[in-house]
Amino acid sequence: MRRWAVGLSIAGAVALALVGILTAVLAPNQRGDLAREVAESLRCPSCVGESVADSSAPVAAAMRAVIDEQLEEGRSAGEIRAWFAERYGTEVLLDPSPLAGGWLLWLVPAVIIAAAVILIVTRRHRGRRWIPLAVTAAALAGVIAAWAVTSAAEPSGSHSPTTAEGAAPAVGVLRDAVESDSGDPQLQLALARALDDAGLLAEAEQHYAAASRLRPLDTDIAYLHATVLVRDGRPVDAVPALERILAIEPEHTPALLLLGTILWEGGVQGGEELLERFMELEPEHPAATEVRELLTEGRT
Amino acid sequence: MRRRGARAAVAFVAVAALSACGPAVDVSQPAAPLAGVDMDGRHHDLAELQGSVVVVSVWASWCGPCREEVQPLSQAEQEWGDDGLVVLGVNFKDHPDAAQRFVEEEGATFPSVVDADGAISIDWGVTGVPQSFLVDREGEIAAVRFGPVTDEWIADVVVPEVQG
Repeated sequence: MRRWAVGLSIAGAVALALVGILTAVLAPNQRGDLAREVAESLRCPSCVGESVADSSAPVAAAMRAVIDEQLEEGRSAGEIRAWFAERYGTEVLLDPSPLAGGWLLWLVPAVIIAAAVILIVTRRHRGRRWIPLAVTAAALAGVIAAWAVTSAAEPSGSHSPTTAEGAAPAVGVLRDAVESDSGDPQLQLALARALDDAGLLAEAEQHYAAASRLRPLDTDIAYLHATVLVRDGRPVDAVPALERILAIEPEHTPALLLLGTILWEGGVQGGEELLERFMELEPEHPAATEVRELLTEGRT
Repeated sequence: MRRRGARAAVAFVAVAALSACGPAVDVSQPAAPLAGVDMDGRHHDLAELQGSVVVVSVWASWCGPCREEVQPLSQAEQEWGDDGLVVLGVNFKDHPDAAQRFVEEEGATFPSVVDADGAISIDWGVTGVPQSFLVDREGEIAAVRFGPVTDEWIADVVVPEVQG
């Protein structure tokens, strides 16, 4: 009788795992969600540390349009990633696959289930103390499998950045690496990006600052440092970094626009001049209309 | 109004400057297809240019450095056109009026295929504009130029290909 109960429990756990798997696999995945997943798995080639999904660069926008088009043509996510890798090199690929982690999580409990079944079968004549343990393990494994696979296939329709929790492993590894070699600007930058992606802006700022100190002539890093300060609600703190960029590259138009806007908004002299320089250099920039409005208002 | 405008301007800052950067396309690879209409509605197809050396230049009117390369490219075509050099532009994700103004202001003499959604450029592995590709007489990519084309690049890379 108890053997039946054991069998029933195992069957229940396995069924639960299967339900989770089937729910994940068979759930209708909207094309938009899949497009987002593919875009998240590709690196924006004209940006620093941004995926195609999160970048506002024109090249990233064009890449997103190509992803949509290829999905409409019936290509799989893997085929599309391979298509981009062929053109941009494998460095365009971020994670191997958005589902990879989920399947790995599923495999672990699957192995536990198998081990539990083997234990029950081989130890049934030697006593029953293994049975509850095995059943518990099988049940737990089933639950974990269901959870893991379901969350791996969960649609990611929002454009929110990766959560701190999701980025934690990368952040942890990078933190350790930076701790052991804090003078490496690449490591500092990689950690800053990971923290930035995780929404930990204040901490990201510290590492952008460190990377920028290590590479003082790198305007890309300085600009990232400035933008994270702005996004963290500290635009005034971004002023020195932006001034440094313009000292190195007087025609760095993003810095002209950002510094000009910050100074203009703060009523500080010089903002208008910077915005005018920006307009001279980038009269057709998507922000030109807004800047023109600002300058017109300023004069009236 | 002042704040709204300022915020909007700051938001636009997120638009990354497409400076020339990063490796992408391998040379000695067959060039990707490039066919389409230019700003005047004329059809162009790279496949029909086999036997010529072609500089494919990807540009946009909203890209400041793109203005710098118009003269070197136009002059190169003028000087080496009889020897088989063709310049074919690709106008990447642009507003038609702005692109037309750009051509007029800079005096571009070469045609440009309109790539409104950027699909052609992405197929070519473009990472930013301006970016140019030197396609040899067999239709293979012989060189890639990140950033504006200069007289030096024409002299050092393009002319030897034309003469070779």
